[in-house]
Amino acid sequence: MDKLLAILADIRPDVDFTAETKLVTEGILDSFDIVALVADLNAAFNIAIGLTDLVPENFDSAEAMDSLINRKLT
Amino acid sequence: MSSKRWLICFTVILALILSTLAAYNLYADPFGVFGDPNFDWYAANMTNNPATAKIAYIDRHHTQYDSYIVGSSGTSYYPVEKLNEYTGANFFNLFSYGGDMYKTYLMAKYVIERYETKNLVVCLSISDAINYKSYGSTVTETLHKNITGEFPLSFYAKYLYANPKYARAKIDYKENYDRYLPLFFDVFDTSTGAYDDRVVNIEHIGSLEEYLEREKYSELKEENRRTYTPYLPRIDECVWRLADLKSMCEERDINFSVIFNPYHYSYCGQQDWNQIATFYRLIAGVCDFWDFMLSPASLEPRYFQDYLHIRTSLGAMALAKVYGAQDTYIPDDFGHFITAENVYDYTVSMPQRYADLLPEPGRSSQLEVILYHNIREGRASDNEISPDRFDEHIAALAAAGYNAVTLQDLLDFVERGAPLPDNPILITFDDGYESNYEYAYPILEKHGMRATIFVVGSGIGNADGDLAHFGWNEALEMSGSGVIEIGSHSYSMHLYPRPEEPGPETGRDGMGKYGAESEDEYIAALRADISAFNEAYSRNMGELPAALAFPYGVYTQLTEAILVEYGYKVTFTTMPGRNEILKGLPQTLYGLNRYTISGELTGDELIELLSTG
Amino acid sequence: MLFASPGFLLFVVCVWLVHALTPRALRWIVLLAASAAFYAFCGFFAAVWLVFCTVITYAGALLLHKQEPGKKKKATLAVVLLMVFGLLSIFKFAGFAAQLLPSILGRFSGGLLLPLGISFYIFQSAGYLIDVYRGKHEPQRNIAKYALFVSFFPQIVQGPIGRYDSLSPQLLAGERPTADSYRNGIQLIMWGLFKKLILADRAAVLVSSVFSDPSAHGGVVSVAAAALYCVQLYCDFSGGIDITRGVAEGLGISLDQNFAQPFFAISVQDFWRRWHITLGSWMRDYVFYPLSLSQLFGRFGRSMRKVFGTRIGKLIPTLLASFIVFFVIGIWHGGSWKYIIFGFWNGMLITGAMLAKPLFEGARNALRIKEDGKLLYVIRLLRTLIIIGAGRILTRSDNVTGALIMFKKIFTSPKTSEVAAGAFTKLGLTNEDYIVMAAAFAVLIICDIMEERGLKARSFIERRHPALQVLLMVAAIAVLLYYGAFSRGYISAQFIYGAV
Repeated sequence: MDKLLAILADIRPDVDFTAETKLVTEGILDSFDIVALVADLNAAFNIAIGLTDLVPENFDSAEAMDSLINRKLT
Repeated sequence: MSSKRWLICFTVILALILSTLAAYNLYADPFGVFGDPNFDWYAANMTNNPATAKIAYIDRHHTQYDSYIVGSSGTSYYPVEKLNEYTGANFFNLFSYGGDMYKTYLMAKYVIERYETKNLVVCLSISDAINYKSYGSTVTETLHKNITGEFPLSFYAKYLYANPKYARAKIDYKENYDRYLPLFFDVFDTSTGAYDDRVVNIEHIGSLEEYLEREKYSELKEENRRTYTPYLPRIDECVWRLADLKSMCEERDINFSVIFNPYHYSYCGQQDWNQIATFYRLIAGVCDFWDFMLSPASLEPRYFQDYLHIRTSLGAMALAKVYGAQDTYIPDDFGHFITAENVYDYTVSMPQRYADLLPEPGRSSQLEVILYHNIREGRASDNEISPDRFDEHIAALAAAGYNAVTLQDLLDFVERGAPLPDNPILITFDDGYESNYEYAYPILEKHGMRATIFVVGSGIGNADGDLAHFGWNEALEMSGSGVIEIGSHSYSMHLYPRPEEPGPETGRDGMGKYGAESEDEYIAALRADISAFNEAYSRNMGELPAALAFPYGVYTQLTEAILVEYGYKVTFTTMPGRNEILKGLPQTLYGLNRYTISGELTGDELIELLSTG
Repeated sequence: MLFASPGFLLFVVCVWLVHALTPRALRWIVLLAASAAFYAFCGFFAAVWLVFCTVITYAGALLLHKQEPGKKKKATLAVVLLMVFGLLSIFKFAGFAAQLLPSILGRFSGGLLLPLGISFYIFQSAGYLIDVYRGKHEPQRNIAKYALFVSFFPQIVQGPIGRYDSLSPQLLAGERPTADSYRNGIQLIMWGLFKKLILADRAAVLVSSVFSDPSAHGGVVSVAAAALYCVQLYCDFSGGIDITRGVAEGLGISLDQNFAQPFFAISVQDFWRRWHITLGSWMRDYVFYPLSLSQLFGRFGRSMRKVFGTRIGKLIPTLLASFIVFFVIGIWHGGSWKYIIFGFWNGMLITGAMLAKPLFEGARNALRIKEDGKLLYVIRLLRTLIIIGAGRILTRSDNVTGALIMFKKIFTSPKTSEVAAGAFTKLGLTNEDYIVMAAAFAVLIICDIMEERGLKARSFIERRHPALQVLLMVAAIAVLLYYGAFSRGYISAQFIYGAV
């Protein structure tokens, strides 16, 4: 989770990722951010987030992203 | 409010409003799609949407027609009367707004498939290569359901629930504003399908400067010239539909002809000649056609109403060219018959032809008209001149190089393009005094000059002392000599003395209308007077009069329009001023200015007056 | 059939009634029949392409579902997509090809007119196909049910582009619409009619008379025409979508929102998130993500990092992908140079904005302008409107030359004297039209501001006294009937032929 928050802070230092729960739905993260994020996550955790995973529910909060990563790791 | 209650409320309100609206639209029928039983006013219906109203009209009256001319609004200017004269057929002008070949195609297809047709004339415009199916399906633009196959429910619903403004306007116009002449709400002539151009065809033309100064013709000014090149993306579709129409006509043995409209030079100058060449070559690949787009006539703004639309007179000249009419003026280099063989060379030459355009010399002429009344020894006033002074005037005119012309000369010039002599002058006399016969006739004959006398029909032959009028015998004698022509000064509408406050008791001011009189009453009075004059004139002179001088110079558009119906071709006012007349525009002979020549002027002073204007 | 025509509205009422009276299990068949009827009204020829598209995507999805992931599956997808988009491009580009090769091809293509709604159902079915390929959901085995998804009549003309997983279940469920949904539906339809008939149709008169000859008008008139074109386009398109959504509401189906107050966008990127949302998200999910996350782009990005440094290097694959998206959106509008330039224009703006972001931030800090201050907001808003307006001049003009003339006029000859001399009264609109437009625009903006702040104009009205609501209803119907579509247009004949 800390590793994830570090990556997130690197991409968007202006957002408080621990508090927001509608990152995508409310347009805080745009598609450019998502692409950067997915590329970084894939590299950092050595996972493969696919195109079908790119739905708002998986990226709306740091928690959701964390659980996505965990699902991909197993 | 709960949703259920809201829905009930809404349904009730909507039903009430919609049924009221439908009843209103059905009553007024502003587009004529329901048969217009209450007004039967297709001139207004066609103005609102010619495409629907004309089809509704033709569906009922198709037996009166056997030929159609189709196209965009530019098609209106080819007079149906001329087409009928040249072909012996009965044409209806089926044009509609928009310059859209698909619309034209559907309208034409409808009539030729449904009704017996002998001739189809298609008028092409540049807009036909710009718009294709570009019209909307709103009440003002849509085509009739009989053409499109639109579901009756959908089509009629559109008109039942049309904006109530159309119906309101129609009722209001009919009750309060409808006149004998067209106004902006009834610009169509129902029986021909063309624009009702009675008003435009009598309006004053004047000099070029004067013409262009008028607001409605200002876009023809050089300074308002546009430079944007229209893009012609629809050439293919346009020509494709033209080909369809041609083959449909061939199958049915219908005469098929195609005319390309004339344009003002500024619009020609906007064109990309490569696009025009493509357009022309494709058209010529389908059929031969007459092209009028570009010619020295394009340089004459007075042949145009705006840069896309011509005057009916120019349309008449185009038809004269197409049908090889003799005895009609056709401007130089106007009209080319384009075939698959010559189209290549023709289109290649177009840019050069545009660059080389020069105005046709002698197309217009100045014309002086002078006015005398009585001739009496020892008199010198605005209305009287002594015989010696008159002799001096005529001699001075001859010496100054003025050439007296006749009415026939003027008509030959405007209608057939026959040349006029230099410094043409028309000498006229009003009222028809005995003294004109006694003095003027021999003096004119002596100097080899001519004149026109406008007689008051009811006064002819009145032996009334000093102001005696000559009789029909003298009139016939003078006109037989070729020196004098006789015109009308009304039958009995020239009251003397002139009433200061015209009215039913005091009488009217010349041929004018007085305030309390209704338009219908005025027209009836006017018709009675004109008929009486024509009857007397033709009984005694053996032909119908062609010219009239308005008593006191009083007239309106309506007076002129009624005279035109009776075949009058030249009319005169008493406004001082020079005139400019134009070949091909017979209307330049309406409302001619005249200088009233005082008996106090010397011969030299007369020449001075004419030369300074 | 036009959405804003009595014929269509009558049709909708009939469909609503039949739908409500039909047993639940059969309701989807009513929808399918209505869609078929709607398409039949619009011309038989157009239906051929719809059937073609439906059949091949239906079959393609079944085939894809059976295949194991691998090259073969990819090839199948590619072939089917090529077939449907090939169909689209035949219609879209025939004219363009004719422009480039004005010969035999040109004459042949003259007869091809774009079938109704073709691009919307093609996008919708292509999305479905890709989702099946990705294994997001099962393919639909019943071809009739699938056909309903492709051809659902309210959305076929202009979208919104639906997604199979959210739309199809609703279409097949046959929920009975509640009184609430009828009411919402009617209100949405009226709102859409308001935008189309009162605003868009009026603006269109002026817009078309100015754009048909840009050389004849001064800069002020040109700017006004461009601004009104933005209003026209928004009202026409979003009004149509409102009607679509309203009609669907009355059938118990809620469609995706397609607009989110685009005039309040603070950047070009933001604008495209608010404008034609379903096309934007389609492009994002099916073009942008796959491209920017592809191995090819990844490798390209890594090599670029060495050249341009980490920040820009990281951005490059995404920027390239978004450039491609705008290029595709550009040519999707139609085959013409102006649309290609339009695509580049937007792509460049967005790329430029991303690359220059640090510069802007530096400038802002230097000028001490607050990050979320009002001033900055207004500046951003205006800047975005101007940029979008400029792009609209390009797309509305006949061709690139026409647009250039207009830009030149705007910068070199504003001709304010022309305006004082009444230029605006000669463009087909009367003073009354201008007043009506201004009033309607004010209403529109107020509603959009409310939406933007999360308030609902409708619930605001619902809380008023019933009498007031009834009054409002009467007023709304009367306004629509009386001020809607009285576009007599400018008929010069009336000016010329009338007696004096």
